[in-house]
Amino acid sequence: MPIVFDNVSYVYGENTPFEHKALDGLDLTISENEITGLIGQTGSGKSTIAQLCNGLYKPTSGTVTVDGVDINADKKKRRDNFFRVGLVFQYPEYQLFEDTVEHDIAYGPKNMGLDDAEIARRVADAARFVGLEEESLSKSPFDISGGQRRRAAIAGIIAMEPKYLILDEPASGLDPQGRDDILTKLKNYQREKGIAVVIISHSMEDMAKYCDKIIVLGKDGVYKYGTKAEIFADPVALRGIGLSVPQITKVMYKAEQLGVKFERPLYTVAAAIKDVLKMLDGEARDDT
Amino acid sequence: MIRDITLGQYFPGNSPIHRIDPRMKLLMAIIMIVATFVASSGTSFALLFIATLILFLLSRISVKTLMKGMKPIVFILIFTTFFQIFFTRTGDLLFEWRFIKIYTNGIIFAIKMFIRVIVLITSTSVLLSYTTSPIALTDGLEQMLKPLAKIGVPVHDFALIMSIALRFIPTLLEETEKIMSAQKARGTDFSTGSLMKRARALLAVFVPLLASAIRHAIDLADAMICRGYRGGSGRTKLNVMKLKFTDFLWLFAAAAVLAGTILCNPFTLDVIKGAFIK
Repeated sequence: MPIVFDNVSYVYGENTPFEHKALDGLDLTISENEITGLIGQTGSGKSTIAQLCNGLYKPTSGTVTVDGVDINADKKKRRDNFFRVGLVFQYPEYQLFEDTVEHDIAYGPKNMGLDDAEIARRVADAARFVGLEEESLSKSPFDISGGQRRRAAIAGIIAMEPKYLILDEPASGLDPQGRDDILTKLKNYQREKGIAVVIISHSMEDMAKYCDKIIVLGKDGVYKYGTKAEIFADPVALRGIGLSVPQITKVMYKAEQLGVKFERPLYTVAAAIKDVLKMLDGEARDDT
Repeated sequence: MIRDITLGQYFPGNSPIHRIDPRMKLLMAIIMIVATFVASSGTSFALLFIATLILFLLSRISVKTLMKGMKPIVFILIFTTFFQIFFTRTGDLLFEWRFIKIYTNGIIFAIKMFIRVIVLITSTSVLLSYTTSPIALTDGLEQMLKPLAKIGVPVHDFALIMSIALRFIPTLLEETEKIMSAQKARGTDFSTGSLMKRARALLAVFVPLLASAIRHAIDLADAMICRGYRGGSGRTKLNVMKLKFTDFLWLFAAAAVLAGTILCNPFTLDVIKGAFIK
């Protein structure tokens, strides 16, 4: 059963001069066993949604259900929600605090009350998934590089083996290679475990490359939910809410206006290269 | 939530109180504090109470906000009032039941104490914390203390330290909340368990917070150097504070309240009477 938002509103600083409505009557469903991309302009409530999913925030009105259960109904089960819906915050490397990376990854599982053998297995597993080498596990989290710290922090959540994994801008601030690397690893992790992963991002390229479904947030609630093809079909409307389609889609769109026909809509550079090569190949054959 | 702490929080607005020059507000606050301590007669307390009420109404701060800010001192207030009522043994006996004896003076002292604390907190918080932004306040303080720079007191440095500290309180609070949320999401339990367990839970917040405070400090220092900061000498202000006529009126009003309080005290009344009888 997926995560379902039913008519959820969230107000920051209620009854103060700083009152600010982040979400207003939001309906949303996050499906299982796929990567959902959550995209929207700054201030559209992406991070708020992330924290509503695991119950860190309580909706001002409406309900959030995970696996068919209202997560805010039973106060005593609050911690269970944290373990079931793993949340990786923005810049998660700033939350590392233990003396070694290994201990930091083990922090979550330890809080779950698991035994030492299980914790050790999970730590090794999580480190492998994010690509942390053996030798950095015994180092202090303050002594490794920024990219490694990010991996360690994500491993800390993965080690809890949540059924749902939500990542708020997991690739922000990393170099292009680091971005691709971490997102590819997350995709592999999702495929292997078959869990639901939500990636919050600003980058349309990342969305196109790694997500199965995309949720586009507009000013008031979900603007569109669907597959890449459905989302990127209308670049003009996307621009209307301050977002854009991947650059390669723009290029292909322009090419089509100039009379070049492609067999399918293109969202990733890799697919575009393949199709263009195929086309050139065909033309070469036509000439002979 | 941590952000609910309103004591010492600025509420943006454009009321007559908001518009008073911060230097004048500082002086007025000092005058009000002095006035609450010299007041002793009923009339002087009434005068102070009315003056504070006027300040409060003009500031357009909601009663709810003020009450929220008062919460921390409510206990002290109740405690002292209780002591005044039950342990004062002068004046006429009003009520007696076994060992409980309540005297008229007890009631009077309690009421005076109550008004004194209320007036003290309300007038200073309305004048300073609720209606003056921290930056304006430190600017005002720096201007007022400027003469001390002549005798070698690093007034500018102190003001800078203070404004940086004030500037980073909300940032660090926000960060604390973020780190706490992040650790909660990893299953940290801050509210139950033994003392050791809770101290350990807090460690998960303090270590990242300290690291981030140091990071902020380094970044800020770098940014300041890059923008040519070389200390206070020869530095001019972007917003030069100028005293307006109304600012002096406000100061005059505060001084009048103090004068009124002193005049209404029985001691001064006696002195005046004595002078005339002579």
